[in-house]
Amino acid sequence: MNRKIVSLLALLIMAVSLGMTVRAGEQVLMETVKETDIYEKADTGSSVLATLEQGQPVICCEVSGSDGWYEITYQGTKGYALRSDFELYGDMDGIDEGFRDIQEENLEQFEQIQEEQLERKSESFWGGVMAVLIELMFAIGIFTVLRKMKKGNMDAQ
Amino acid sequence: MLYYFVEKHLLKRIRQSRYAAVYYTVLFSLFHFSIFKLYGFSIFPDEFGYWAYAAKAAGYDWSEVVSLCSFYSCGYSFFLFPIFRFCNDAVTAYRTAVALNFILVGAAYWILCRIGSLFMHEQGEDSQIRSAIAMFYPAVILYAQTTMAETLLMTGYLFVLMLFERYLRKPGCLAMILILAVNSYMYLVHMRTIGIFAVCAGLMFLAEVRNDRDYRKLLFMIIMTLVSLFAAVLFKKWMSASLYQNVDQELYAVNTYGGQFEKIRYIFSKDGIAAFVAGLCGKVLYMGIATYGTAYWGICFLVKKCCEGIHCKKGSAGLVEAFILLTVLSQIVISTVYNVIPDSYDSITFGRYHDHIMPVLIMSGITGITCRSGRKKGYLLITGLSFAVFTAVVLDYAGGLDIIGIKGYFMIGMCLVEPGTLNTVRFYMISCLTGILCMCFFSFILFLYKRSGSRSVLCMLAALQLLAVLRLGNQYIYPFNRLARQDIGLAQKMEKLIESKGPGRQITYVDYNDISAIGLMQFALRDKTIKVVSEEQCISGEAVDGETLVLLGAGDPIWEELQKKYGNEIFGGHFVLLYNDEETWK
Repeated sequence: MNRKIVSLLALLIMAVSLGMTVRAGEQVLMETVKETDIYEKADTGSSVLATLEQGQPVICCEVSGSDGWYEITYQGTKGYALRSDFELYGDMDGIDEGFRDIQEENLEQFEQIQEEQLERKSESFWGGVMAVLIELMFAIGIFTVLRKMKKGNMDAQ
Repeated sequence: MLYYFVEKHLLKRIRQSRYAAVYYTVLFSLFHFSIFKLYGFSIFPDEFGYWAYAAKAAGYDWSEVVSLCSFYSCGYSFFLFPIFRFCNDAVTAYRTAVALNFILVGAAYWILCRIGSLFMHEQGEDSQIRSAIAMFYPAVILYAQTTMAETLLMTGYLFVLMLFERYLRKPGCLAMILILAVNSYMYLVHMRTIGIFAVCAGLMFLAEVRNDRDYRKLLFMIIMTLVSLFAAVLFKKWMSASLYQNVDQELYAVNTYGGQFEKIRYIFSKDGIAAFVAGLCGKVLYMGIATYGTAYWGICFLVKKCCEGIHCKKGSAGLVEAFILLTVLSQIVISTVYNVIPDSYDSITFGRYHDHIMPVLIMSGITGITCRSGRKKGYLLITGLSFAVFTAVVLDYAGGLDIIGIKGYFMIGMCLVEPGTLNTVRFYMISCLTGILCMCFFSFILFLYKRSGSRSVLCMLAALQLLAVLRLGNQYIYPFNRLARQDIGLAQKMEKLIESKGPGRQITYVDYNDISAIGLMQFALRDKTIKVVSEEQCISGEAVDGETLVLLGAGDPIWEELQKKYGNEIFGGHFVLLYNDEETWK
């Protein structure tokens, strides 16, 4: 399901980036309403290159001068299919849901990264404090011994 | 007026408590340094066992996951219950419990300072710095970063010791009842403290006999001891009966007295005697290495003071020392019996059961080394000889065993060298050498302290202890928590999945290879009952269906089989989650 939504989103983004309008020579995201043959030419008499399953989303291109046909590219095969076999891709709710999921996931990841950064900051600050304290302890000890040695009273006890 | 008050009272007090102030500052920094690295259990079945009582009291049903665990005592759960009740998020609850542990460590330091002043007759500042060195004992700080009961046990032990010392000075029925009550509670926290209970009761009896022989008081004492012991035993039975209803009896008995009878029988066999002696040597060797030799000096010092007290033949002289020595002995014997049949090399040098007594021994040891009286050469000879003999026995015994692996976290004090990459004999040899080096450093600093007479020199010992704490934390606590973080992340994803795909979906864990991290998943998914099934039940489809969320241990061989049935999988920490979007098989 997720994979389907992601592929649809990819198609949609492609369509948008190519400038999706229903004008000749331009592209639109459609889906097949029944099993659909892709013909070599805009003619039902020409040879069939491939067959699309019902509900298959495809990017279709208006063909000038051939009103009943769309030019489509499917899995690297370029061909023609009857307009009546297509309708505008209608699962906009699914796309919205996909967007929402991705948005939520991104937000979660962002929050997680923020949390991790905060933790790292705190860790490095307190790590620094610990290091300073440990070094101070050693320094105090060594300094005390050196001072006593300098004063010459190392036989106090 | 204000200046006078500040100068006379405040500054004077601060000056007098400067070592304590440094101790609390370091403890505070240590807490903050570690707390954001902690997400969940480091020592799995044990920590889960303590939280399970709290969950039961809060009305959650964890019975299926509890059925995978052995018996754990309920005393520590009294502390965990309010935390569990008020912190809904697993990580927050865990960190709050760790914060409580650090407060207990702080309280234990204060008690140890009092013990130093009262019974070792140390001056305030001497007591403060020696207690600080003792309380930076690595195992104390590391266990405080988990929700193991060890921190509570250590504080409880020191509290009992302080009460016992006070009782000897000012005997009274109320003090006696308080001591017995604390001992009973300690018994509820962990059953191994039965030794401390017995020693405490026995010595209080002896003190009464030596003092005034008031037979009515003696009778009252015996009755109160029996009543408090039976009350603790009955309460423990009642609590465990309510939690461990569906547990396999053999598994349950691993941590109960019932499970120890077979071990005691084994001790009376030829192999058992050898194992028992080697175990005793291992525990004593651990004491020496973990405390850099100060525990041996402490024992020598306490034996000397105890003998002097006994020769006095009056009052309660020598009884506090006897209390410490006998409790050390009892804990070592209990630990040896519990581990007499070794399942890993950790069993030989298992230190966890007497780690809570070490701070007192370290402080006694430092006092023993730095006191003015002679016999230092005798002490040194005893320490050196003990160390050599115990090392030889442990190496010989460990070399003859046919088991693999050292985990290390139950003998944390002697694991400065990571055991994972070494074979056993080499590990023990390197540990002993590291121990000797640290002993030399400790002795050198103490020698400088004796010569200079300045307490500040001892700061270097505290610094060495802190370095060990940081080293061992990076080795044993934080790596486990990195995995725990992933487990918790997976649990959060599961919660969201259940929310979006259907609240009725069952979480099922396929029990494989005893991955006890499932306890952490249950802790994170507190209001979901995780069902536990066997691999056979899972493959046959008897226990799972298309809508089940299946949790598998990473590396479970049935993973590939189940991949055919479930369309989605998420990896996290110790587990793989398999599920379908639709409520049917793939």
